[in-house]
Amino acid sequence: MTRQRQCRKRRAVKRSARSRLVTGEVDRVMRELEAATRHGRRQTDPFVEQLKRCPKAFKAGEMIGKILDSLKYSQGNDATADRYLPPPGTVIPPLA
Amino acid sequence: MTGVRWRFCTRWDEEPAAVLGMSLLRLGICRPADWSGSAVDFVERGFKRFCQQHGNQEVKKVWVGDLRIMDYIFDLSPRERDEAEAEAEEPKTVLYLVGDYEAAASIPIGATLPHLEREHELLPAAFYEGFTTNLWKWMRVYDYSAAKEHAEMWTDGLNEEEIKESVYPKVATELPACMGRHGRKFKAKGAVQFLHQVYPQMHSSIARQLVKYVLEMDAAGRGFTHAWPGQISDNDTPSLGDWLNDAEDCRPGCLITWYENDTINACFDEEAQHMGENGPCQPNVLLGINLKKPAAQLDRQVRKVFDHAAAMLASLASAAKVVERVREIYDEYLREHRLNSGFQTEPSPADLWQE
Repeated sequence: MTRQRQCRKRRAVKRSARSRLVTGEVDRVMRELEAATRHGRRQTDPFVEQLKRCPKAFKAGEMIGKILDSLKYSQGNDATADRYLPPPGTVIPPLA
Repeated sequence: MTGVRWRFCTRWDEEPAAVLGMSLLRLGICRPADWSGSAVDFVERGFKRFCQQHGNQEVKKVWVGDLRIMDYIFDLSPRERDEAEAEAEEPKTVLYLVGDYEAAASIPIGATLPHLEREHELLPAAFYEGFTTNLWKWMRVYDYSAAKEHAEMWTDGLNEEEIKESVYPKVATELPACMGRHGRKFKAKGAVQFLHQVYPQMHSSIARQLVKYVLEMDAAGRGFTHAWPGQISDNDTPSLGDWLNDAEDCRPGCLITWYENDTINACFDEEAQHMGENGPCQPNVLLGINLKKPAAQLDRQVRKVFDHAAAMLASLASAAKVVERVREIYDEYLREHRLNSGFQTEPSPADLWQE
């Protein structure tokens, strides 16, 4: 009887620990979502943090993004779009 | 790239998704493990799992289409989206559940009707009525009634000679006898009641299966009505009325013919050629989620929308089983009559919608 009661007690303790963990997780995600509703995106985004630490890469990415955007939206009507493209056969070295 | 998520959205996407995500988390549809750092991803993961749990895979076997949560009713190009966001003063406060079909699923039901008639004289009509009524809850159905209407409309402008040469008079004459005699006997409710009555006494396994699936369809969709785009409240979406006025009727989600390439098919092809010519077509299903509500009210609204999605998927999953069985019976019929299968060498106009 005593052993049975102990087992039941242990199971109950385990169950309550698990439910506390789940509740904690739900609260954490709820907070993250709440932050997203206020700021649009999280302040501590790991990817953004990495970019902040390396602004040069961010600048290069931004420039390439702008060039690609202008190419994407020009729909072939923009004569200046050709300027962004290297001459045929050019070998482009990776970013130093 | 480990740990870097694949999608980065602007605050215009993240903010409404985060409000919806909080509601989905409260309702247990999304889980903490779905969180990757993006609210859009969070909602997408929860919604995908939800769809899978309610028979999405089964539905996909027959219907090609989308059930999506969107911030606009129609698809926008990246440029249109950028322009819309630049003009807007704040992120969207309404999201939509949009259901639409890329093509009409072909259901050649003619060869199935004799199997049902052998069980009971009234069974083909009751089955047809029960099946189509339940399909109508989730899609526009193109069948004998639509073809008849089309034929009557186009016959008006023709002289006798032209009418004789056209397919229009044949629409009525091709109606199977079992449907002609008893087709008007049943209304939706009566048809389902009749199916419940005869089901226990049925002997043929084919007929039993078909009736069982229709009863499943009916049970899954009971209490739900078609969420037509016009039913969305103007308070939630003030500009929707204008858009709906310009838009065309939604495209049918299925084409129920007696046999492939019959007169119903011919009428459908004629109509399909002009679908979407004068503007975008309305989606088949549209429900709004107004995010600017207190949490309890928002949760009730989200629950209602997701209940609708669940019922739609579950009902269509059973409908897909009916369609697969009907197609098998039709293939069998073709083999017996030594006809070629209905694969077309050239796509019909209906297949060319997207193009």
